[in-house]
Amino acid sequence: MLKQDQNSSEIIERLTPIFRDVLDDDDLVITPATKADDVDGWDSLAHIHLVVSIEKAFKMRFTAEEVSSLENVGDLVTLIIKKTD
Amino acid sequence: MAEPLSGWDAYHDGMRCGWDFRFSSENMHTFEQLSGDHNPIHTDPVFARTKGFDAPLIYGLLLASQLSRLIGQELPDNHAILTGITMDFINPAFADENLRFDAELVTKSDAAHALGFKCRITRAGKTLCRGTADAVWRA
Repeated sequence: MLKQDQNSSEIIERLTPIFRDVLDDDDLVITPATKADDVDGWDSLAHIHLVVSIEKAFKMRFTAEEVSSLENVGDLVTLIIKKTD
Repeated sequence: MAEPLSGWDAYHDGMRCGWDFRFSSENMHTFEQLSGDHNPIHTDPVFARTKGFDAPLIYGLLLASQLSRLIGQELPDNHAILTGITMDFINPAFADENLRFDAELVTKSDAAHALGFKCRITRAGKTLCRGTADAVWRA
């Protein structure tokens, strides 16, 4: 569990600049509980930019099903960990 | 014989397209009127020479219009919508020159139905502009 938590915080650390860049908010703080509704500007177009940017940064590809099932940043982190293992 | 791919499957990493084009002085004048950019670097040969150029420079965003053509006109269907562009202007381009635009699909995100292209404008093989075009595909 400790390793999982460590991975999660490392991934959120890597995700933060991506979210800040795409959503144009230098002060944005994301947590596992963060949802699109919580963040100004996280609309469908921003979501597409986020997905593409995250795929590039983490050198992985998601499927449409994987992305549509995500409810918050924590789900995204879990997906990234799953695809990394 | 296999059916040709259609829809989203018609797009694949590495797919390429390109075409030859040119802009006339009249095209430049039209862009000047539409954009409201009357800077003499684009309109006055004498002024352009004082800046070290042989002729007025083609407007950078007129060159970038080829990115619009790429996404709107040259893809396998009409479902792509331009969502972002970048363009670096490396060498000058002038009116009535034969130019070439080439693009390659470098990013295809199945998850987001998003496309990313790398693009280049050349004259006789010399790179004038490098850029990117991003699009979302909505069938």
